[in-house]
Amino acid sequence: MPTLASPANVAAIAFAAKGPRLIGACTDGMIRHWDPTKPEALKALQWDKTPQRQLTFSRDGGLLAGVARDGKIRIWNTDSGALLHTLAGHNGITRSVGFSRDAKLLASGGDDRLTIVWDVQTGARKWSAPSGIGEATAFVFSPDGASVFSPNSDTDARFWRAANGELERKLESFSLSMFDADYSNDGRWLAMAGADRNIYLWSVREAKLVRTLTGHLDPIVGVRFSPDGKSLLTSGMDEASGRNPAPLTLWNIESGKSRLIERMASATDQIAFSPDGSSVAWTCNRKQVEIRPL
Amino acid sequence: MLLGALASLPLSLVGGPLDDPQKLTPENEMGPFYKKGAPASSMLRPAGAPGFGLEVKGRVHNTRGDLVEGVEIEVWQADHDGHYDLKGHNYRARLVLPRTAEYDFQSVMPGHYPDRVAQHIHYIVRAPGHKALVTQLYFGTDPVFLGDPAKNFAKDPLVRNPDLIRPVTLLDENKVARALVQFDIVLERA
Repeated sequence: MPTLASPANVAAIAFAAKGPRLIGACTDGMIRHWDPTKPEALKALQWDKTPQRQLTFSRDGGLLAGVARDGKIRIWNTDSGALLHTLAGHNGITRSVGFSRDAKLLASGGDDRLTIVWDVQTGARKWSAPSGIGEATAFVFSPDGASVFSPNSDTDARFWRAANGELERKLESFSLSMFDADYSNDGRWLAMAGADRNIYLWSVREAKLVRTLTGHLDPIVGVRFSPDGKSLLTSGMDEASGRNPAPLTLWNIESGKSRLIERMASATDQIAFSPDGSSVAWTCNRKQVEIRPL
Repeated sequence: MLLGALASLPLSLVGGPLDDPQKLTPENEMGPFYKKGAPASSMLRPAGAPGFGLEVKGRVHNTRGDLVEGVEIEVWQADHDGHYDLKGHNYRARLVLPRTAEYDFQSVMPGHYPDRVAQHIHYIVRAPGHKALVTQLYFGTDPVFLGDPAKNFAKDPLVRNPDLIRPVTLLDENKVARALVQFDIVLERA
């Protein structure tokens, strides 16, 4: 498969749910759509000229959320480039955002130590609740949309009831922060990983951590389940010595065995499985998206 | 006394909480590498570890100027080369303050690292009846600020308030140079 080319850095990616299409949010304010088998973009459309951070796609690639310097969250339609909402709720910087699987809800966390969940259709704030004393590092909704999981740089992680913000559970057993998490599509597992280099598997049914996968030498910044829920893709940071730069690793969650897919240009949380699970893609905020068959 | 050879380094003269006891110490982000379980110690620097010696001291009071009782401070920083210890607790400590609300710890000047522009030390300050403060200490001598922190503090986009950049006094003790920083903290009552 080719490397997908872009005239500007690609900051975030997602595979579209329908059709062989990969969508990228680029730093020149353009959304680009590629056929993953062809290097040149099929189409490019303007979405915003303002620099955006925390760029995050919905699961199907249909929506894109970003945070501008003004601290407001904006949501665009990735097919038309149309701005759908400007969400102003956090006092100060918004640190992290995440869509529910059906893209009806968006969770956000800011320097104001609040978690806010928004109704994406109306742009209204659905609820807000105080979170930890650090920054929320991710928001991950369960596949059924009932629960939203959020690790925090204070090392605790919280499960919120997505409908009303009730705190369902708080994990306090980590000594270092988790940086990313992902649910398996069948909702059985939640994988989480971060600064302590371990990958933790949370059994949703048993409501406990049941397995730990080890092997990364440095903090892990990205975790994604394969569509069949049998594998995990993880993205590690650069080791300062350069002996182990930015590994992209595939794990079998039953056996715990892993294989290195690639040493990336730099650590990135922008990693994705194709919808059929046959390939993976990543971008390191450079002028290309890499795709590898598995 | 000031080392002659080092006296030409830029010394910050920016103001801060000491200048106005009513002024809350600004918050600053926790960052990704906080670790629970830091040892109760005033020595962050492992024995024999390289780096430019640093002592940080200060007091903790509230916006009425009263000293705060029951204060605990957690501090953590990168080593002289810009690396955080994620496996152990080097350069991490928990300080339990006496009734005088004074603290003091020994370390080295933290190094620069690629994802952060300015040298810094992380703080969490907790006390009964007060809102927990998460902040960072920066150094007026950091070359990033070009000798004028009040003007150039935004060279590091995460430094949003120059009050957190403190003056550095360079000392020569038995021909060993080290830095001394005073960082007083003002907490908000809960």
